[in-house]
Amino acid sequence: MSPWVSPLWSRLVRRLRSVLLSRSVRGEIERELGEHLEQLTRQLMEEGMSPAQARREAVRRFGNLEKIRSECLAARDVPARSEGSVLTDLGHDLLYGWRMLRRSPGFAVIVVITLALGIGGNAAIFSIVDGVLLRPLPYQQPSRLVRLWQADRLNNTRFENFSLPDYFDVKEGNSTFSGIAASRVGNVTLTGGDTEPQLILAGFATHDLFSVLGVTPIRGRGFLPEEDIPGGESVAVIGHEMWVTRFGGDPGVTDRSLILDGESHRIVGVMGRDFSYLTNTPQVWVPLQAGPTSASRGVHSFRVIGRLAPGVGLTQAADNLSTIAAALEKEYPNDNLNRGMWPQPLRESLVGDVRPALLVLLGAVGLVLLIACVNVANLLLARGQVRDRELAVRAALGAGRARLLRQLMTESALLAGLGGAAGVGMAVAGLRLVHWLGPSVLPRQGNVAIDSRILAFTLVLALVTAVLFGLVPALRSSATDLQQPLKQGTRTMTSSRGSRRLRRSLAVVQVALAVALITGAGLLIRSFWRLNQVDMGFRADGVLVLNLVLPASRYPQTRGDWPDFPEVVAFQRDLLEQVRNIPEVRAAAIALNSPTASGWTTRFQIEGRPLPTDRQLEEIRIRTVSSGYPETVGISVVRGRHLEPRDDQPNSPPVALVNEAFAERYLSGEDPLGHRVINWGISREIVGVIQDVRFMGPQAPVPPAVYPTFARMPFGGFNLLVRTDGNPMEVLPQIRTVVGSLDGQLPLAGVGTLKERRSAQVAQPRFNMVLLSVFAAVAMILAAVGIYGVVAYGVSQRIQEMGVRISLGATRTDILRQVVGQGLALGVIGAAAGVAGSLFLTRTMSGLLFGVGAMDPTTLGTVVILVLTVTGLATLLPALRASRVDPVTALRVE
Amino acid sequence: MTPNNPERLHGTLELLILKLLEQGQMNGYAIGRRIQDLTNRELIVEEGSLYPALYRMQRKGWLKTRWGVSENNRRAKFYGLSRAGRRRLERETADWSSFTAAVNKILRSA
Repeated sequence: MSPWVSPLWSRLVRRLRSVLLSRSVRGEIERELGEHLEQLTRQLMEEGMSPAQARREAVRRFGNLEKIRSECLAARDVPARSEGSVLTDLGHDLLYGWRMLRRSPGFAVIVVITLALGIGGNAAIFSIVDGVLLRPLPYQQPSRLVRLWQADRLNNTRFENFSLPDYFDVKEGNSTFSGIAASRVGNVTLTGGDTEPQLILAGFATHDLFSVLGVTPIRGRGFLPEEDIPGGESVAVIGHEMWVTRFGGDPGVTDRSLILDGESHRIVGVMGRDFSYLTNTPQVWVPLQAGPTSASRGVHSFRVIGRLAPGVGLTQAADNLSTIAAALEKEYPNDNLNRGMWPQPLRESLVGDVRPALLVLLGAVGLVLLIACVNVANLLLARGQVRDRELAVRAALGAGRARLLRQLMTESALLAGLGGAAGVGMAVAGLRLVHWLGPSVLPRQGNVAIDSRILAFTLVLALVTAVLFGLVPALRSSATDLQQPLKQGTRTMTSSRGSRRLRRSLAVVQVALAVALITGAGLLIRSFWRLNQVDMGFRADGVLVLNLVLPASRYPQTRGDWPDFPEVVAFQRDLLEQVRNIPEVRAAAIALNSPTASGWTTRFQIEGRPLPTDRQLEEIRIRTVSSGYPETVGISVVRGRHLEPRDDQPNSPPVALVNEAFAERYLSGEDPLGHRVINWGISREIVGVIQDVRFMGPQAPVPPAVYPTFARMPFGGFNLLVRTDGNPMEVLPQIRTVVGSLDGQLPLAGVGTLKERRSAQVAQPRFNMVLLSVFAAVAMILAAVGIYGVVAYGVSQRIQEMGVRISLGATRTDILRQVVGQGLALGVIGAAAGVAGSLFLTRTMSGLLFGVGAMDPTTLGTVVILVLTVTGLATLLPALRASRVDPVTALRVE
Repeated sequence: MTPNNPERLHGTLELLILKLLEQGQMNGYAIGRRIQDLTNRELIVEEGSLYPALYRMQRKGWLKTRWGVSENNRRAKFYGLSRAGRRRLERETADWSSFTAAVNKILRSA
């Protein structure tokens, strides 16, 4: 029996108790009400009732025990107005909100999942956008770096690489760059140590590449000028990954060396982990060791970057380059006529291509989040009406509107926080899907990951989301006529007209957004399908592809001896012969470029043709092949003959095939056979015309191409293509054996099927399509749930009305029709709005489409039918329930 | 209480409770019973209104509580006035008087 205590103290104690020991509060109320019941029963017995009667009457008079209990509990939970700092209030609100959620777990789960989908999707896409577009490049002052391109005005291409002499001339003669560096990449064989020989990507760079970029190796140093001259010392700078995997992070790695293509290179430095360069970062760097005469001016295989001098703008540099280009055109008309030069900001050159697609995806996922917020807002509105009573009690206790608002917003924030946490999990899974779609679909894909930046973004997004979906329901709930629910015995289930209209318009908005998204996805799906339908010209089934690189140390390939590389040619001949002996092999060939690779161009001439001066320096694609190429890749020779094994002999007369585009462009109206094509100083006879192959990709036109024979235009690096009847990978072991028997030190690289390579050609559009489709599917589900919610709630509100109608003679089908009709009406309005919206939105996507217009009626029509069907199904369930209402139970007044 | 005007009865109930408790501590049942008896069954407070009101007033610090033994020898919760409660009673009584006086003036004038 506690004595009287001062009010302040007892207030504090009470508050503590109610926050921490709600069970004891419940117990208290139980006991008190129980005692009251006892006393009432006793009184009634005194008035003459029997004990049983008295008890029953007492219970009846008491009314709804649960109601009283909950009101008392609610009364206890709110502290007196003067108390509480903001922080304790916040903690209190959170706890209270948590308890409220636990009481309706179904509601909480649906909301959290909905939010997780929206927030998680945004987190995933944002991490892509951040990694690819936003994050600065890993160089010093990256905005000052530019990629230098050459432009071929005749063939109308703007993204050609430089030739080495051109590079040196620009380096000498420019006035706007503080530094210019050139590089090229190539596959080299890495041997040594206890591992198998490996083919790795090496970068050959001028010594100033690292200083132009403004990066320093984390160990050792870059290249010295004296190492970068022909005959200079063989050194190498290795990449971070190689340092870790091959050298175990050895701090003394700068004393060790590396054997590349049979030559030993002393390691002088290690690059940092974050270093990357252009699209494919080499694993090792060696000095280019070239001078202005080391390569021909007509071979454009060097990538050139430059750093703008301080105070110089891009236009100044562009003008400077144009001047130099013009001078070179005059001085070397054979090589440089019609060749311009221009600078592109480095970042632009890396990510410019994917920016539109990524922005579309960002917009799409933002729409999904919007739909999710609308869904949650609707759910909150519905739930709000259930909580009116509790809120009314608290308002009566003196909680102002602001206080109630704060409580409700805190609960929304709690929901958003849970949704955000779950969303992060979804985002991690989503990114795994992205990486699975293609490890190099995106530039800078290595940067794409969930890290602290993304987490911070997710947190902010969750808070914004909470405001978006929580504000309207909170404003509504805190402003209802709060005295109403305190009336005795009224089941306040009246949803005002206003709130019903609001919920219905929200559902319509959801449908509209979903329609827009699904239309976008549908367009991309059709585009992708069209892309895949394009006849590439060759048959990809059953063909195995792999790369081989013959190191110059064992297969001499000195420039002066070209085209006399007897060791190279002998190896290739033997390889072809032995591979063709394998029983499962139907056809085999060697090609410089597989049918999915674009290859490179060089200048040429048609013998005996008086070419107009502006055509003198046209360039065409040179795609060296061996005999058997057309059969192996499944293309036909439309005129003339195939290449035969005799053409693979080193002293055979030089011949070449040309494709139809070439014949069309340069020899139309004539018989191409017998004409001769001259390139690199050798004149070759055209002996056949082959079918066009879309080696530039499904969307680009087929350029003219010449296919000289390998024997008279040899290269140390090449592809081996093998056609089999079944699964081409099954012959791989035998091919390994063959290669091994010819040269035990030769690694196979890039092993795969032609089908895989064909598929990789469309990796980017596939990426866009898959992601957008995922979003569209999510949007559709959310919209369906939204419609279902609105219709189901409407039905539950009007159970009594349904009961009346049924008892008055309405049939089940009547009710069904009414409810489904109402739901479909919402769907139709939403679909109409969505179609209007998507006509406007898909215009932004037109760059991503192929073979499909942005306003394609088939797609729109299909989407509308799909959405209406789903909407109809969503309304079916509540409609069925409504039609099964038993009028007796519905009409019973509570 | 069969209310015609909920707001008025809200505050009125609290006033009645305060007044009753001025004279001593009572438990919930006793308060209700007393109101009933004193008004000759004209005002009957239902439990659904009484207890929430009691808890509200507890919250606001106008009542203090203790657990004691009831007439039936059971544990019961007893309510009493706090100092703030007494002040409130004074104020509310004064307000009530001036309110009814003003209304009466108008009612009589017609």
